[in-house]
Amino acid sequence: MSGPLPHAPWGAPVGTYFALAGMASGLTLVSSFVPEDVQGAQSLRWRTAWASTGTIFLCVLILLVDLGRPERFFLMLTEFSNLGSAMSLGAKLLAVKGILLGLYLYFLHRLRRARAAGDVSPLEGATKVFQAFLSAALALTALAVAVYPAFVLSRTWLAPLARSPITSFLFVSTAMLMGWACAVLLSLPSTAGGLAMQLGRLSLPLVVIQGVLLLVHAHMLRDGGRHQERALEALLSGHAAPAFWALVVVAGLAVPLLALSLLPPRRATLAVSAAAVLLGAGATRYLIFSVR
Amino acid sequence: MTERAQAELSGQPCPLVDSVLTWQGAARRLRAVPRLGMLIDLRTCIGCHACSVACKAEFDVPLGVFRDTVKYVEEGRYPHVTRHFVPVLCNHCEDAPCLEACPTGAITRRPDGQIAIDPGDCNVNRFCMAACPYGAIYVDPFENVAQKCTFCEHRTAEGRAPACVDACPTRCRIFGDLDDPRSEIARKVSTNATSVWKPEAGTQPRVLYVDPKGALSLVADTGIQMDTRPQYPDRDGRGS
Repeated sequence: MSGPLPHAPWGAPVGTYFALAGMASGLTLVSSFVPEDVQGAQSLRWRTAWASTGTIFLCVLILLVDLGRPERFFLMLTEFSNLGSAMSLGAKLLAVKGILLGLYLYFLHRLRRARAAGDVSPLEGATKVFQAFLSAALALTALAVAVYPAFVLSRTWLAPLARSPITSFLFVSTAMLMGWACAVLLSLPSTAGGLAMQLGRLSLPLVVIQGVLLLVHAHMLRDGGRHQERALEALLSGHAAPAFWALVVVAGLAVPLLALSLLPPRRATLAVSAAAVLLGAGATRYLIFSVR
Repeated sequence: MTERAQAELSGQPCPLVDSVLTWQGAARRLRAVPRLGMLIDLRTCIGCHACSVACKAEFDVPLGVFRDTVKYVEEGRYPHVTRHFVPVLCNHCEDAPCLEACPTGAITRRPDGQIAIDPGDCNVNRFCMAACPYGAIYVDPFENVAQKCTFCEHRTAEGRAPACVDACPTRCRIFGDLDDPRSEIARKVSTNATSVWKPEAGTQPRVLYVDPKGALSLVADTGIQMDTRPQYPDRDGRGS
């Protein structure tokens, strides 16, 4: 183990938390890109909002279990003397996102009830402004939640693979991929495949961008210093190589690229690609955290 | 000539000048607070561990964790072997990563520069441990809070030196105000070439070393909590 402590102070729970935080933020980001007039968009927003809320709840649970003194978890939310701490900001961002999601779900619930009662008139006035504000605030918070783990990890000796200028972009990319994958899996059962197929078309550019970012990231890590070089070597040909090549490269990049570009567009193809992307993107985040 | 100009020229304190609204007053006020630091002379450390034992006794530090310890590092191949003794402790850095990391405000900087952990505000999230490149912070298994060297603030508040400094039989540790040119530590810093542990971390430690043999580079990859059995690294820091 390379580092100043005999055991890493953070383990699998925190790594899982960083991966799930990406999923929670990606769900919100992807649903915010789906236009209002697309069939199934409202249903997708409802499902992704609930899925994101559930994921955030799980994230908070993991953090509470991992803390040595969970009864003092509230200090991360109530203490403002150190806003320079990425973890302090992250905890507050999660809380804000949770509150915004609660408001958004209530708003969506009222909208669905109105639609179910036959009121199909478009939103206008203050309601329209409120929805626009809520959506924008959610998207911005989601972006911040997607990125903040990169800032946390770059300030530690634990994650040499996080010490490159590309790390933030990689965390946004993995969040978008995880969000896309979950959105596809959530929309597949409900529609005749229309929305899911449209989402499927989003995936190829996202996967290509992820691949490019990984290459650039690896190139920058090579020039980063001996800790980064050692971690990169462990990832590419050392103890983490099986997980990297199998999950990040094959599942996360090769399977969706080949399946979505060569196979006919079917639900099964989409489902397998989405599952593979979810695995690959989640593994990318986890490996950036854990390999040293 | 104004009263202020006269006071500045004479260097005498003046109520008008010493107001917090003037930069000169603030600087003078700052200089009245010591900037405590430690100098360790590796030429005279004999590796007796009196400092680590004194620290353990002073704070009842549990077995297996350390606030202060001595690294034994061997260099070379038989028959040309050298053993170095490198005392290590929290560096109370000017740019402390633990201070920036702590999300609950439990880690604070005292007026004299010492970095301290308030156990009441610590929720053991361990970000400080992940941020510190020296491995200075540990979780006390009995108190269940993060702990580290405090430069014996309870002793320094009474004008005494830390326990490790008092215990050292060779006086290789010198403690005092780095900003006071009359202090022993400032005089020794000005007359000797000094270095710091892991300068690449950019933390600006207040623990300085007189290290003419470059022993600090041999402990570049280890930490305070790491095993203190003799290590055999080569010069590029890779262990064997």
